[in-house]
Amino acid sequence: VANWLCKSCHIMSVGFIGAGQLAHALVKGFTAAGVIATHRITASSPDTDLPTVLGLRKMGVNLTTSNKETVNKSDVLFLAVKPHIIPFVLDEIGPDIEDRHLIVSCAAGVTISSIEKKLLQYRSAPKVMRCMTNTPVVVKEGATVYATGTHAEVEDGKLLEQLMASVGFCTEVEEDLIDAVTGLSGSGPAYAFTALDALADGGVKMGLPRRLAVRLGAQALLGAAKMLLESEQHPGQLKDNVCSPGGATIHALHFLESGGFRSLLINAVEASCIRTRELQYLADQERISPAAIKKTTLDKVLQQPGVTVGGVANGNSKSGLSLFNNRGSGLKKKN
Amino acid sequence: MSVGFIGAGQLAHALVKGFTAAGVIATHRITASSPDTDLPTVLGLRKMGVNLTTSNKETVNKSDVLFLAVKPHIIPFVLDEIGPDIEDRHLIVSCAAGVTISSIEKKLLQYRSAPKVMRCMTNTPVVVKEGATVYATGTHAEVEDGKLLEQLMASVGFCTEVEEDLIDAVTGLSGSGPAYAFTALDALADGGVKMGLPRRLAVRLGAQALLGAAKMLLESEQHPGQLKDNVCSPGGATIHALHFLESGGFRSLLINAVEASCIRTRELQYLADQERISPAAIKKTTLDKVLQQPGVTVDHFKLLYL
Repeated sequence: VANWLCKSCHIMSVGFIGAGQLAHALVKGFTAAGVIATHRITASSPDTDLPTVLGLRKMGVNLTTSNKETVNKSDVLFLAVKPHIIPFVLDEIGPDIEDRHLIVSCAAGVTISSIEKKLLQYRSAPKVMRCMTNTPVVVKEGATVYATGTHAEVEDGKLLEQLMASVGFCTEVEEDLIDAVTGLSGSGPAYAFTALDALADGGVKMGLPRRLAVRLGAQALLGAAKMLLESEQHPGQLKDNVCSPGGATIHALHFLESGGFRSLLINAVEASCIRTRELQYLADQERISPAAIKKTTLDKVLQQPGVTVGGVANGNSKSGLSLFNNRGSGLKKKN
Repeated sequence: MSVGFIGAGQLAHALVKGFTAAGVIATHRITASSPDTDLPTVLGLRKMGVNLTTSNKETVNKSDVLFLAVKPHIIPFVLDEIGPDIEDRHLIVSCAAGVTISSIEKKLLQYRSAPKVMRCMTNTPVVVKEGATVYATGTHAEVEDGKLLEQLMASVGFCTEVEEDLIDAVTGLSGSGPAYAFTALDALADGGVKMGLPRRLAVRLGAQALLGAAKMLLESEQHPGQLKDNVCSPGGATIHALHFLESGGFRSLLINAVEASCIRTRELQYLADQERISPAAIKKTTLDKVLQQPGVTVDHFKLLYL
């Protein structure tokens, strides 16, 4: 493994707080890309039975149940836990953060300023960055954006970009765009998996064996996406190019348009973005909506030092959510 | 081995671009013919170093593998024209949606006793070497002919042999599939722009997300539904978004699209088998050019009023 991930001739170690889907996907991608050796990666999780934990262990990652241990062994520290867990994690690891640490939060809706605010209780200039990536990093075709915090240097941005560019597309953005990116490329793979399931159903309906239908549908989407990425042309122009007069494709497109296909996708991007902003609001309030936490996670959270029952919203689940009774006009469901 | 294209439109252009990028054949060994020398694709082919001609006979004479890359209703006329020039070495590969191997063999049997015919259905992403191609083998084509075609088409994407009766369904799915994707990508970018992203970034992120997801599925043993589950965290942004897709019948629209394309392909096949040309399917200029071909008379146009 060519370990070129270094800063000032110091070979970097990477840590993950959280050993779930995101950590697993990033580690898989990083190691496939050869940017870092697995023995230089540490990940921590309270739950040692998760399939992703087993997967990480198989890859040679150092696993631990101690977040402090991960911090001590890392230079670049990814926060790869659910958004509502972030405040508790920061309180726990705050005292162990050193000057060398670059904290990279991957949590949807958690602002740089909320993280800096927490860490400033422990250090005067915590280096924080925020990124939004997606699961196709696991096959080195991720889509990642990042924003740079108050005390992070240009070289910290470049370091993160080096890491994330090894597993797909990566670019810096202003932080206020990250929620929109979440709605588009963060959630985007789920829209694609849904579409691919349906396309395969269509193929099977018309007589194809399932495996072939899945393969052809995925290949068609992949090829089209690659064409767009490598073309200067508008997607509408590329669409025109494949619609011959009176042909099969334009007949098919009419069904998509009749059903408001485009609108459904716009709705989806918008809904994911708005929900991300909701989660951000909840995180800023340091309240945890009961609806957002599985009971087991809540129990584990309550076991963390420094967390009391007073820190959890009781009773009416809508407390703190009055801003969100009026959803955006674009989200009225079709009747 | 030399390759020829009857027709120098989108399909020929995309295939040549892919073949040359993959390095499976040099452009000077490729010939393409077209009556219209001003098409952008013709100019593109010439730029790539392909031999261009207005004579289909010349293409036939210079080729071993001959792709028929014209619109389905033109196929019968092309076959009548080139039939006498087909030799034993020729492998005829029809890319025309809805045109059956038996209809092509029937035409060519007037000229040769054992014409080697194959039928394939591909798609435009061959141009970036990520095409999806299936092919079916005709009565007189050998196993090695299939392997040769598969070698060519596998250089520009996925390629597998199928029974001919599946090809219409493949047309509906991966033949037309890129158009569904371009439509989706346009809409996803609109969504991103609505929520504040600059257009270029929105297009880039949407395309990258679709590409990555498709690649994940191709490289995974898991069901697409499982992959979808894996990215939907409880109460999170993604599952909220998915609810909108489901509420609007997103899946159903895509099934409708695949079905509609497949059915239209079968309609076109029916029309071709009848050797009738529906007025709706021909642009007027193409009809005029067809009428100018030697051997074609007005009797060929028993217009069917559907």
